[in-house]
Amino acid sequence: MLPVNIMEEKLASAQSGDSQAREDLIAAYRSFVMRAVVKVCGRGMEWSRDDELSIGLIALNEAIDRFDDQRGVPFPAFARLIIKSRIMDYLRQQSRHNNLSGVSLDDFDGQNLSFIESSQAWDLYLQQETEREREEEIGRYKKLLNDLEICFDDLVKASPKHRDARATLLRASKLLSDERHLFSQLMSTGKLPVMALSRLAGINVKTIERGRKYIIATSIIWHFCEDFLYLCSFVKLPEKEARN
Amino acid sequence: MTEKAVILEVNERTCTVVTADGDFRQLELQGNYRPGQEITLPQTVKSTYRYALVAACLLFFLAAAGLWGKWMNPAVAAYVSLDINPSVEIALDKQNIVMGLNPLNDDGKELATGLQIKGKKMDMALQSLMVAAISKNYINTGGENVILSAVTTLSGSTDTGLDELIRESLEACLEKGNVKAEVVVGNIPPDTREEARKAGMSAGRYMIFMNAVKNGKSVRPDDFKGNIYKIQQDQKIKVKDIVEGGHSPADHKKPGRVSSPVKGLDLRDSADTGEYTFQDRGRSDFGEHVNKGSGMSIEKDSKEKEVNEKEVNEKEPGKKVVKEKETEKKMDPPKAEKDIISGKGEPDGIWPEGSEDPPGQDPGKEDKGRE
Repeated sequence: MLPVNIMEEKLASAQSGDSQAREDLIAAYRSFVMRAVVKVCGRGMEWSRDDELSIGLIALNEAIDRFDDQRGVPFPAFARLIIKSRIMDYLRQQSRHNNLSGVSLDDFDGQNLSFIESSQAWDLYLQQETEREREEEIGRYKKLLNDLEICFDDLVKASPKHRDARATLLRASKLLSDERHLFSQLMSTGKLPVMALSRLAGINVKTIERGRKYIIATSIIWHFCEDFLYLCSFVKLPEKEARN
Repeated sequence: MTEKAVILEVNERTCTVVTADGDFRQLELQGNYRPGQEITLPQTVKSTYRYALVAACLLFFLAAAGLWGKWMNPAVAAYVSLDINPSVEIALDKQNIVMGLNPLNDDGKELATGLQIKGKKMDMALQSLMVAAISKNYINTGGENVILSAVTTLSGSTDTGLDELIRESLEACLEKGNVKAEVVVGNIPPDTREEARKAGMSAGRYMIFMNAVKNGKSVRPDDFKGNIYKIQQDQKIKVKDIVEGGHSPADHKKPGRVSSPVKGLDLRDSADTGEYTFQDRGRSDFGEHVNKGSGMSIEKDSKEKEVNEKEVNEKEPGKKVVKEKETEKKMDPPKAEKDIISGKGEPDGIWPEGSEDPPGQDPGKEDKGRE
């Protein structure tokens, strides 16, 4: 997964005809496509063997063309919806082929589908689907935090009111989410490695201690960005860290 | 600035959100929110409300401070100068509360030492001053005394009754202390007081001095320092008639032959300031007070009256002959001047530099006799 702002830059240039940017994007989202397709099909996939993965890549390419940030849906979420939709189409076609050999309604069906997709019905579908996904995502986030004995009220109390103070903690949480070893330590023990993080981020131990829950909650978003697509793309990191 | 947030949790009346810059907040529930929904925070409304609150608080405190300041430090409404030998001036506010005491000469300083009259009512303050004057022997308990008081209201109006209040207070004090003294209270317009201040004299003394100048006497301001009774004797004048007779120094048309030795005292310039009228009020009081047992002998009284009449005559135009005669008599300078009127020692604020426009004077009170 690319950092949000770099992804947005690449998307914009790809949409305006930069084929290199498009290649970069597709390369960066290969594993993302893999996971999305696996989730829809419910079985393991291999690039060399399964057509679904190719359809997933084609869908990603389509998502790049059709993405519109005015919709308020982050690109990965949008791409995932397209991939899901295309895979479903494909699977339906396959089952028709298997069941009704001969007579082909495929062409008609496909045209019909694309007609629907270009209409307002698609927008409605997209809206409903993203709403559902968002709600489901928050539910997962809440559950994960509960497992770490953090509730949202704690975060309201723990989140610094001052933007600079928040940026300091967000910097620490970003470092933590990137540091595999420290992060797995956090997830397995449920305890924040305060000393190690203090050394790593160069932030006072006290500051980290005070913002403990806030750091844990936000680092989870960064680390499991793919699982919390909407949150991850919504909550912006401070400028400096977003570049790295 | 609109800020966006994602709903995390919806409770009964509140919801928890996270903003785009990572702030977790609790908001009041507005409308039908679902977790995951992206909303626009009512940030601007909230902040303007907060700013309005801050501004309101600030305004409130400013107003409170202003009122407090005004309450604690009200404006001076009147100045009352008091001359016995010590000369002092007190500043009064609208409620006749003493705002400050300003000694006008060395004896005044002496008198003022140890006196705490600031914040007291005027009558109490005058009583303290009189008690101090008696105990420090400025008032001769066995002999003749004149207490001269000049009232200057900054508004310029003379019918505030302040002069009568002062007279009553002073006379009450004297009666209590069993001391005989003539109480003279006069109204003086603010600009005249200002002139007096520039000349380094008390308003009351300045009034007598200018009257003498007006009458063509060859006098110096120094002649009008020291004990008022002594001045009265030396100059052969009757302070009461001058002060209460309504002759403000600015009343004179000709400054006479005497050019003022005091810097800043331009006699010609002051000649045309203000219009003053006579009013012959309170004549009936005269007899009453005389009957109250004057300490003076009848002879002396009548003698003084003669002089008095001369003075009164002089005030009328076209009686220059008498004036000439008077002038010859009063050429010799007075003796035993021990006090120097000090023009300094102006406390901050209460004795300001400028004064208000000259209003019409109405020095109505006539003789009330002696006690």
